[in-house]
Amino acid sequence: MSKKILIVDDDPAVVDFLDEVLTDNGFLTAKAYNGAEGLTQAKAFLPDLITLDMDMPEKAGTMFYIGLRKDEALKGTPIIVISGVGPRPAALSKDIPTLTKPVEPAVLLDLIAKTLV
Amino acid sequence: MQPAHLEPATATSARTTVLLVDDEQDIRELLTMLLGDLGFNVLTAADGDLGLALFKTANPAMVLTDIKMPGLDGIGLLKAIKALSPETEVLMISGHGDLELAIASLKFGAGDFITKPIDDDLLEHGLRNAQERIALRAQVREHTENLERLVAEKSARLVELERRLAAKQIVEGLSSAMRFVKSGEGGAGTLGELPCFVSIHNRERHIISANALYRERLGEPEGRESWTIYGTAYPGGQGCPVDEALKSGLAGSSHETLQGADGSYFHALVSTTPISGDGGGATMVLEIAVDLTEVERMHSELVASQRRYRDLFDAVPCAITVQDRSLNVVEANTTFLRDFGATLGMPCYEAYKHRTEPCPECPILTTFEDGTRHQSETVVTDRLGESRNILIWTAPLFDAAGRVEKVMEVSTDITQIRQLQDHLSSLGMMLGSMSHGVKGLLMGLDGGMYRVESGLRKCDMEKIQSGWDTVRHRIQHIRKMVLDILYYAKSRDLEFAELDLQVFANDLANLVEGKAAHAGIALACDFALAQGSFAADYTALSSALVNFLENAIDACLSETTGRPRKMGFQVEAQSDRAVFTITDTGVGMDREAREKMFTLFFSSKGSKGTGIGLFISNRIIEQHHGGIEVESSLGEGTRITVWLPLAQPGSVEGRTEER
Repeated sequence: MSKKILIVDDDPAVVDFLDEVLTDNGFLTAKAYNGAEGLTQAKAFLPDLITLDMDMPEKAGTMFYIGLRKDEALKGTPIIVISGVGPRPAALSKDIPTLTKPVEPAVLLDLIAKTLV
Repeated sequence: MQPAHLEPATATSARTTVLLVDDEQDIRELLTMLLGDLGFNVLTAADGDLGLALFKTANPAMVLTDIKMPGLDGIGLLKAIKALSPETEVLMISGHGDLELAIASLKFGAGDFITKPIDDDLLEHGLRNAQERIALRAQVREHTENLERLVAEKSARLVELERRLAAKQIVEGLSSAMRFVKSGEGGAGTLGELPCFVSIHNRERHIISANALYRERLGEPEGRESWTIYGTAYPGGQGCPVDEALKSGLAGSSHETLQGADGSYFHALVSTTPISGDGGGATMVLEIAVDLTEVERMHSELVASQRRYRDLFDAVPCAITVQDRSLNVVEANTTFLRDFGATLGMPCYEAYKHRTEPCPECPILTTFEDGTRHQSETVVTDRLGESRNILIWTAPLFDAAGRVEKVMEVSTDITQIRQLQDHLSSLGMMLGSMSHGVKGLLMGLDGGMYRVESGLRKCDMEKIQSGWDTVRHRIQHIRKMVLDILYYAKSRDLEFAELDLQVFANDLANLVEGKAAHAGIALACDFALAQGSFAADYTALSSALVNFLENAIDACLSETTGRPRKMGFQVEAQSDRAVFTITDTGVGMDREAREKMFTLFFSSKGSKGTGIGLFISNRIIEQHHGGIEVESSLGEGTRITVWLPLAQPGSVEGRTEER
């Protein structure tokens, strides 16, 4: 059965790009364009992995992460941060893998494969 | 260590108290835990303003603050705290993307900065270092105070000794004078040593004795009539000082003109004291005359040097004012009065900024509070309405009781220096603020390319088309960005072309319609009178006007009282000019914001604005030989009117003048 990935990013072009790459590689995807939408989607979709943009407006990335941690069913879901600027954003523990934009599809797929082992 | 009872109770507890300011709840929780583990007392505040308020009441020795926060940000908090209490250790928490701010904060007196994600070891190291600095400073202060106390004690003793000595001399001098008077003996004796003309007169108004100086300057005294030293002022002696003293029996003093033995006249202060005999009634008069010529010479010298100071005061190329506690200008030099069209008695903030109340973080008020010098930089408006960057120094002026009575403010115009810096720093600022956007753009570009490639592989025309649309859209965006950069990096020559006003107006409306609709703002366009053509550089002018339109949207978004969000965009051709009017029902601006809005790096949008947009818009309009009028009031909205001539001066085809 296909693994499910939730894509959270406020830039529709980025969401479309990731969606296309992941669908092409046999993943089932859901898309969310802000933190709140991301949480709703996560609860309904129960993804195996989440790609998260930390640079969304209104600290949506951090809020999404906190919301996720508070939810018993979702707190264990692996996250890959895909971020515009800098290394790992604050408030995330050190073992969350982080990719910096622009992201090479091959690198992302490789990281997903390792995370989903 | 000092015994505990010497320390104020608050200082002991403040030593281990850290004020933690961060707008992120989870960071506050994490750090409170960490700091608690390290043995600190932790107070937390969720933003800069709350942090500052808590700082004022709790007075912690250390502050740990995030840099990027809504409202008063970390740098602002740092400056405010350092202005209140320069010895407080402020450590900055730097997030991703604000490392430069963190480094800049050191310049404003931050003790250190700690980067996110927070590393426990580095945090502890930074805090321990800060603690050590506090302890060292306390030691240095203690030593300094000891030294000062020692000096104060020593000098107090010295003064006391001097005072006793002087008292002794006076008593001795007086008693010997009394002896002399009582005995009625003549001779130089004690009187001879006094630096004034001293003489003793009898009831018959004859001099019976005088001191050496008298003899030297006024001539032989013995047997001489009392009034003869006054030239011909008192013929017969009626009304002369000695005569008055004898008649009234009271001591008196008056200004008199004395004639010396050499015939010259000089001015003197003459004091007379009747001396009663055993049976009551004045039997003798002691007359003491002090030569005022010397005093007058010194006085006129003083006046001259005061005038020189006044000239200097007026000639310095700085505006100097002396202000009282209500910030009224009680004294000012001509530079200030001339450049700012102000009058004495006017409040400082009104003269400089046309405000109705004191500016926040006023350095003068701070000087009144702590009695030390302060410095700050701000933008003011001169008499001609021009903005000027000024550097302010303040210094306390103390009254006799040692309280700050007035504060002197010296304002130096650094507009030209700032203008030079602007050009250099704007490029860096611009790149910094854009790097996030650029990365998003590149990612979008990658997405478009991926789609085109994948469409090509699958021979899917629709996919290729949609991919290409993305690529084209992103490239246009990058193009605009590059043009903006070029604009700062090098003055790009404008390329004027004849443009159709209606088409241009529609293009602008299309650019912002989406954003306005998304923000729930009703955008009313009126291009009915936008007829004919005008000359402009399409790219430059549209980006300038889009800035105003986007600002109107932002102003509406910041408006939270629930008034309907409306924007108007009207374009019309008047006889010789094109006029663009942009209105919004947003938050509006006060006069200070209105006057500063076109200054580089002034932003009313807090961390969201870069302070570049309107600066460049203004420049572009100027290059089009046009003008901008701003009407705005807080809580009501803003109306921006931009006008430019339909034809550009010089050749229409082309060149803009050199800037």
